[in-house]
Amino acid sequence: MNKKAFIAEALVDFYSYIAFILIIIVFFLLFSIQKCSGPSEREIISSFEENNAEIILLNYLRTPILVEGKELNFAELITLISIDKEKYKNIFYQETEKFFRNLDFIKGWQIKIIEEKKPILHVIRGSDCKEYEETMPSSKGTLKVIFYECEKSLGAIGPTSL
Amino acid sequence: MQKRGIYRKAQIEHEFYYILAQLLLIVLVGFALFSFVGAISQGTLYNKNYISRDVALIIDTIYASPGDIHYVYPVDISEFIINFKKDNVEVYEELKLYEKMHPSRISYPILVDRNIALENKIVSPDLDINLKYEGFQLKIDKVGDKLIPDKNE
Amino acid sequence: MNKKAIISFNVMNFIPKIIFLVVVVLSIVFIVKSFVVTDIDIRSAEAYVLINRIIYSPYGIAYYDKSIDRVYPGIIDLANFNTQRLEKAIVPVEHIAAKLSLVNQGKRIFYNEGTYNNLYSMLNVEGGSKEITNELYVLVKDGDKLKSDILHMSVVVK
Repeated sequence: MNKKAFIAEALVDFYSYIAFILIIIVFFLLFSIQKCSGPSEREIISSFEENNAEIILLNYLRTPILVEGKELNFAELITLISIDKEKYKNIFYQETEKFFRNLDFIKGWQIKIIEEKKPILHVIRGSDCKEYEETMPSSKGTLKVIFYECEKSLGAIGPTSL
Repeated sequence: MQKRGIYRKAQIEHEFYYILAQLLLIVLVGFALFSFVGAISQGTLYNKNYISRDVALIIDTIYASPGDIHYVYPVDISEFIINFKKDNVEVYEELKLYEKMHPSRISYPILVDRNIALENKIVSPDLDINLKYEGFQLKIDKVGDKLIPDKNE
Repeated sequence: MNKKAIISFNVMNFIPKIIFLVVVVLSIVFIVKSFVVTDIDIRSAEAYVLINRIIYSPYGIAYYDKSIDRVYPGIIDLANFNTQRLEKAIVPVEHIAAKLSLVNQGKRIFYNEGTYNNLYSMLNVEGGSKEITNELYVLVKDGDKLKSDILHMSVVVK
């Protein structure tokens, strides 16, 4: 064998090492991209969280409270608000604040009441929220109660809008 | 007179056999690697594991329903045989393996509800292994206090 | 170069190539195996399925009105809130257990108590069990009265 053949063989070996290293780098890049995925696992857990929030809203509406010495629940109080807002709104604020104060696993929340597409009450104590709603009949048509479960709390400083 | 370089017949032969040996080695290694990757890609261990756990969880969920349910499992399980036992779900690749209770089966436990009877049966595309058809689906019906798995017609 | 020198030169040249071949084959095997998923971790999903079964099933702790065949989700019947009812409804198994507490009522029940304690002790062990907790605002039906409470649930899965 002559000198040129010897060099050519060594050169081919060198390129094969470079090619191998490049392939390994590409595979490791692919592998690290693949590690970032995992949406299906998050999907299962999020649907359970939604069930929980819906149950909280349902139970909030069924929760017994004392209004003018009578035992009612929040759903009935909201129906009364649709008839006479000024008379019952303060009791509603107090009882709702008391209700959510006991649920320390809820970071932030909002409650909005809409009657026939017009908002009549909105208590804001959180931001960055997911919404859940229930509807019920009222004297003027339909009452919608929307519960917002929020990621951030606005505390007692948060505004209460009417 | 001796000639230098590769022009001598013996040297040519030597180089030829040397290259042939390298090619043979490449072919052998290539064949082995392709067989290995092929075996991994056609492997059913993951599928059996997935189906046994998924079906067991579905049974656990259906137990909780207050009323009657008709559920069709959306995954095509034409390649497998599912055996609903008293307290677990077994998945086999072939009927012959089921008959031998072959250890290649994968099973997963069910949280049995004493108030609801789960029908013990095998659900397979066809009892004759040679007549598998495509698009075979599993259905699970809850009727009253009975849970009945079957193939979806 | 004579014949012997060529042969020994080729053999010596072949050794790094063989080493390189071995490295490539091992790398391919390692890369392929690293993409193969063998473990499916459904412990969280299984825990939530068990929780849902306990709190929503007519044979669980939920208030179930037989006369209209209706379960009231979110309302716990205090008469159903006991360990015997849970273990009658769900046959105990080795790999999962649960503890439920009503905070205001001060009551606590187990599904599979012995297994719960065993698995709980294996929580911080590598390859041991996993705990999934959840809290829910519930109403407790005690006779005709409805009372507010928080249901704290802890499920341990192997």
